[in-house]
Amino acid sequence: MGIYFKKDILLFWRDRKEVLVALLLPIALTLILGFALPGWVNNSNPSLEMKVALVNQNRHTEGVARFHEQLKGSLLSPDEQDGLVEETAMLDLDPEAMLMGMFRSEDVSRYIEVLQLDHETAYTKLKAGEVTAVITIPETYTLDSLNKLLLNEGDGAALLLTAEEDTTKVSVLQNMLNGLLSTVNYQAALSHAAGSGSDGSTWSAPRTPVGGLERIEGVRMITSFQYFAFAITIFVTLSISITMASKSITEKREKVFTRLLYSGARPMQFQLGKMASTFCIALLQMLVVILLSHVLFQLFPGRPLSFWLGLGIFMVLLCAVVAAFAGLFTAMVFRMKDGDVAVGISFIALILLGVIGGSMVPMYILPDWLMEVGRLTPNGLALTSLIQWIQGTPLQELWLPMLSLGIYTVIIMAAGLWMFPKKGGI
Amino acid sequence: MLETVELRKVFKGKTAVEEVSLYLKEGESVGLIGPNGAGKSTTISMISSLLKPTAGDVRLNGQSVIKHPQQLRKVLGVVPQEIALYEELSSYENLKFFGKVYGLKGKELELKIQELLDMVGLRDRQKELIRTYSGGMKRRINIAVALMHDPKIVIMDEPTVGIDPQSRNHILDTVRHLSREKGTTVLYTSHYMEEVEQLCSRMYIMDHGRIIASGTKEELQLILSGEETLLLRLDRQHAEFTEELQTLAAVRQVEETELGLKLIVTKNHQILSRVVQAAERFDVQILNIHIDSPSLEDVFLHLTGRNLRD
Repeated sequence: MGIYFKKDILLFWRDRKEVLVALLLPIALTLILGFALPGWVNNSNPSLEMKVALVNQNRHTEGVARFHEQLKGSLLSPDEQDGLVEETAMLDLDPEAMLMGMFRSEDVSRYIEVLQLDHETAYTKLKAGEVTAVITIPETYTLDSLNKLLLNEGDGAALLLTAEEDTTKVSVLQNMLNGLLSTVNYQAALSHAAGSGSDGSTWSAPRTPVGGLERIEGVRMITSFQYFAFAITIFVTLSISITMASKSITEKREKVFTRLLYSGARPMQFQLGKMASTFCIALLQMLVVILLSHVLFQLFPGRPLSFWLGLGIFMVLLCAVVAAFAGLFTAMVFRMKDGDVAVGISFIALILLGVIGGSMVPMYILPDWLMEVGRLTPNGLALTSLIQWIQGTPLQELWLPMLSLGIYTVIIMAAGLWMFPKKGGI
Repeated sequence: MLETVELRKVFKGKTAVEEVSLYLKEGESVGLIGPNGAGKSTTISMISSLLKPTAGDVRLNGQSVIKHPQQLRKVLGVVPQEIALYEELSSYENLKFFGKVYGLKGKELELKIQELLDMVGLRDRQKELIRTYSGGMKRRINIAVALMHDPKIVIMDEPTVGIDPQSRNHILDTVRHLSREKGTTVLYTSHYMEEVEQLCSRMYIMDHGRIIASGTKEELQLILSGEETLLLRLDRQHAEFTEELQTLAAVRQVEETELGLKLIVTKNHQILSRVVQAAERFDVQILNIHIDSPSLEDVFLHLTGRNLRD
């Protein structure tokens, strides 16, 4: 297999046009798209624009009064009760103001419009599809917040989100609200942990999370340059499988492969060599392009070595799929009478994978069903996993896409080996 | 050493090769000639174990190699009609690659590469890419690759197609060298009868998938022993004169040449005077008449009704 591997590496290297395309095209496209569409990824986009109804049923004054009554009936000393009453007065617990503060922030207001409505109107509009969801602030919001915040009792503040369908937009909204509530309840826990003797001034109003998907607490934003660098590189890397397979057209037409058979060589070794060389070329291409892009566009400044190692793992997995594809496409070249037709079919398949897998356009502009399909493609899996990794998702939470890429490799490779004619189609 | 026994190959109901039996003795050069579509390449593919015959057998030293071709592949070198080389690799790299495929390595491989480059006269250009070579140089390397493992039997499928005279001579010398110096058994197919005449001690003539004649040059020429060739040099071509000659009983074949006509005629004392009389009738001037024994080309034409390069 080694001699075939070396031969294929040499043939690819001698084809300077292909080398230049593999290395320069992704960088050039990243440069152009990164500058031309700087906000395409992290700013609002039509697919996320939505109207949301806000129904405020909170009885703030009543909640505070009930809290005071609860204090009187508690085992706390009169001094402690007076202290908590004072704290209550100092707290700014207006959930409506807090939510509106978040929705009016510059980033969120670009794609979420909030309508403050009564309960009946809100649900009528939800049924009519005029709003994506209804956020309800329940009657006991203030009481629950105070119980959690000052007495560490109950589950804390909660908001009610109602939607007709479980769509991406609703998921985005839900993530934002979760972020907001987590912050409120986290602050409550901190305040309580600081001691009941707290004078209340240590508590600050929760920071409002902003920015939708990319700025949910603990999640890094992904920039256009990062997105395009990976999306385009993944596509060009996939195309290496076709480049390598297309070289077999000449090997078949000029009877070089026949000559190998005269020698008694095993066809499977020829194909395994093709896959091994494709893996190495694809991995080298990805590494060079991503590193060059990092230097040119400052993709990941200050990221630790572990981050780069994680990127490397995903690249290795993707390149294994690319190598398997090279084997499959090579088998098609030998199996079909006209090798050019086989390459044409492979290219169409690649374009389809590129489109629905997010390598050509961001996946979220696709219809939901197509987006789901796209996430299942090898390039879609690799791209979403890389994005999640860049955003800070731990590697152990990405085991499923990693496993899926491995399964893809095995299945595609097996298909290629099965399809490869035992005598090379002669 | 190598023989085929009533080889037959049918493709989708169409018979490409029918009852082809031939043999090659150790160290001899044998020609296999026939027009395009005669079944030569199919026969070669079956002999070289790439194509399974529908019927018949291929035997190496008496042992069938149809089911177990490994033994044959070890001793067989095939020079395909196509330039089966990697254009983006140098001749050295091509030879090294195929040498390794044949299991050569180390010093043995290097020595063999240089020996063959010397043999085909391209040692000084071994580092250049094949795509920069002329057609003739490519064909020389094409042959060298087939000789990397020192085969005992070499099958050459039209190795001189479309090349310059210098390379052609080089290739013919290489075949002679293989046969005379190394004792290699050669099966040589070509469109050029003179090549086969020069190189081969025996030959097989194929047409429509069958072997229609075989033997040495002299044996084949005996087919036309009662005939002779008249080469007429004329001042002009004249269709009616040609038609008139075809009606003469002694004339077997008439073929237009660049300078006049070529007739294959039954040996007959009166034929010359009849040809001259016909020329006078059609006012065609005969500038020169050359009488010769029939060549192998004539035998081929006689047997197949076609020229070898049709």
